[in-house]
Amino acid sequence: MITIPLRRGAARTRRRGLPVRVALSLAASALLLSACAGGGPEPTPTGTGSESAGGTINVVVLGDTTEPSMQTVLSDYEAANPGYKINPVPIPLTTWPDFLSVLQTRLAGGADYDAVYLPTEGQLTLSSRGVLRALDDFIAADQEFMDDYYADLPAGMLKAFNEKENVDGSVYFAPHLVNTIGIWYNKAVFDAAGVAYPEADWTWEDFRTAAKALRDPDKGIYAFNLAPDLFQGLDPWLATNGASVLDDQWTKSTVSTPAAVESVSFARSLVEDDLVPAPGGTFDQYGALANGKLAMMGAGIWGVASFAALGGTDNFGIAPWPQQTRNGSPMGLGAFGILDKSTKADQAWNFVKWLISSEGQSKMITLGAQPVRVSTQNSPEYLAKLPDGGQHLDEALNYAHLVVGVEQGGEIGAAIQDSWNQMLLGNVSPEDGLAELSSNIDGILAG
Amino acid sequence: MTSEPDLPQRPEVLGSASRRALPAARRRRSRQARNELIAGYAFASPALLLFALFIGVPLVGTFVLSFTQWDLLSGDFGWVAAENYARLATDDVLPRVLLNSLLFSIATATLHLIVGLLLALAVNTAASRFIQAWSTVAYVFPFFVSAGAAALLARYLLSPDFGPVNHYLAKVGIDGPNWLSDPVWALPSLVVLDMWQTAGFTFLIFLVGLQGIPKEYYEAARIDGAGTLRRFFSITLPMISPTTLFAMIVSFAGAFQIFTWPYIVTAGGPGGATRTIVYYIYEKAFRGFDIGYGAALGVLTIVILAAVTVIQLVASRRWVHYER
Repeated sequence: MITIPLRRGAARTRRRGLPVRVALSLAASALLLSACAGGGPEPTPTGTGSESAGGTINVVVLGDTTEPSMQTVLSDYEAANPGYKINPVPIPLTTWPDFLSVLQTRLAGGADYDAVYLPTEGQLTLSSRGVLRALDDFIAADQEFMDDYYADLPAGMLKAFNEKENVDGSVYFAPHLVNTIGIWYNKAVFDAAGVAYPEADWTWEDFRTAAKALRDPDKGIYAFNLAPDLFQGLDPWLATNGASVLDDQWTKSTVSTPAAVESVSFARSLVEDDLVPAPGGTFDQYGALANGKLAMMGAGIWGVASFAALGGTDNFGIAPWPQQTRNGSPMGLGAFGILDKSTKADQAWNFVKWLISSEGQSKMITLGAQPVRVSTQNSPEYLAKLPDGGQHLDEALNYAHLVVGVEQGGEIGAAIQDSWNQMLLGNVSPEDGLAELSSNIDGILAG
Repeated sequence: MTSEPDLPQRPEVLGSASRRALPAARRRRSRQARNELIAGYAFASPALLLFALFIGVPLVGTFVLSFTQWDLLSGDFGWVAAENYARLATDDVLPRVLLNSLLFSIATATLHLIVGLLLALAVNTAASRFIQAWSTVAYVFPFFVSAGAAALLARYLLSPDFGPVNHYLAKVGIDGPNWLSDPVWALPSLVVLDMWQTAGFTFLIFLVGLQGIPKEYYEAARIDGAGTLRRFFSITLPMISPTTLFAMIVSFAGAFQIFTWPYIVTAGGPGGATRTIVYYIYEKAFRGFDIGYGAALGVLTIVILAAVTVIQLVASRRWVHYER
């Protein structure tokens, strides 16, 4: 083999070049790693750092924080509380189980959050794990204000909330909004079909009779839409027949009782009679109701916000859910929990206090939610903003029950949704489906 | 008898100056080799560091976590020895989950190999370079579509009442099923969706493999009178067998870890028909806040994938031909 020796100069150059290239390679590694670590930390508060004199707090909410309704409420708060700023941190998802999954990962990663918005479905999940700060001291410090607030809440709602959501005798939430559910209907579709608007005491059979008259396959009009989830889907049918998912103590499943089977069988019959779109699809019920392709749908006051971009609510009416044996509706309460690790708990409490004050309560309809204070629910300003029949949603607070909000809410919610859809599709009978669901729920509750 | 040539002894071959130079030359070579080694590691360091950070550390972390009970939210942490692994044996849901994952992976990998190879053959033999380029982009394009967007589109396409698929099936007298909500059709639907999005990657692998086969082989075979099928089975398939092995391993491993479709399109339903192992890990770890058991499921997934890959590699000795 012929070897061509390197020239002395070339060899020297090569040796000198090595460390340079090594350094460059290492620098490239470092650069790459720093790039991978990009994205940076979550937005850092830019406040004064004072514990009690204003500043910016990071508040986590589900959905889009750039919505005008959200921005309006935050602006109103900041205008009413000079020096206090809210930095809304959105988790842009659509379901609470997914929201909680992301939230727990962020918290475990050290995210710097001060407060988090939680519905009933997610409140115990966080408060029972010691993630949130008990509000007892804050409440004691603002006793007069809080006494006025508690006295202004519907008695049944407050009792149910305290029984279920307090942990070891401590209060973790001061709810500022509530949602119940009713039947939204398109008046024009009813008028065209010659069907009278629903009465407040209408029954399942009244509902079925109306649905058959409203369904028009030629025009592509469906009578109703069966929502896939618990709150808008299964729960109202159970509640209006005296059934429930869990017992009163939320310790055991009661979802396979004969009354529950009857509820699901009725819902299944709506599918069999072709009165509703096939379950499991991507039916946009808000768009369909607004466009006259759907006669009725189940929703709460949030429809006001949802329909705002679809021409408003002038053409709609709201009726209570039809009943079989009794009035019924699920009830969900929204509140901000203050994170235990927050160094700005005072500022977060200031925000919570404003939301439950009379001024904050008057903004709830802007967010598409019912205020919790009875005085606000009865105020002319609020009533004037409600769609026709919207008062039924507030009246439902007198008989509504708290939607299931156990610690394992995410798992139970997913199990209910899957089972409910299977029964609606006829893949499994209501008897077998509910028996299996009941067993699953008990298994999840037992851990 | 020939006498041995009168060769000088080795020390005499080299002059005294050369003898002095030898250690210095060796030292130079040794230093040069060491420098090259350092340079080699330096150049590989970005990949090595990334691998260690994003694969190695999580791998070790997952293994460690599988011996713990850890609630991410509360921070409650405790060692539970092999309790999570004992739970694997008594988990009633797990057998169905593993079966779903295996069925999905086998179906997906098989379809990928067949469709990817057929597409690559078609493009490789296309006469026009424009058609070749256009087809390549068209087949690979879905691979770069956001999985989330593709999943939402799929839900719309396969919607029972309003989806275009059932609409056009109805036009020809077929009553299409509820694709994503029927326990029989849900998993096959996801297989087809996955193939649509990712078969372009397998196609690309095969295309590169096909383009690496020297033309002379085909010319020689043609002169010897070999027909199209004979050339395909005697030249093409053996020559791309290493590529096929690679595509098989990658397709299977990728399919076994499928998460996007069950998460966005079917939520693991209906009735658990599309609950795959990675979706199940998500449910346990991030919905049930049971990180330890989720980690044990993750270790199980790694073990299964490693075992399947070893089987594929061992079996490949019978049918993979490497050019020497």
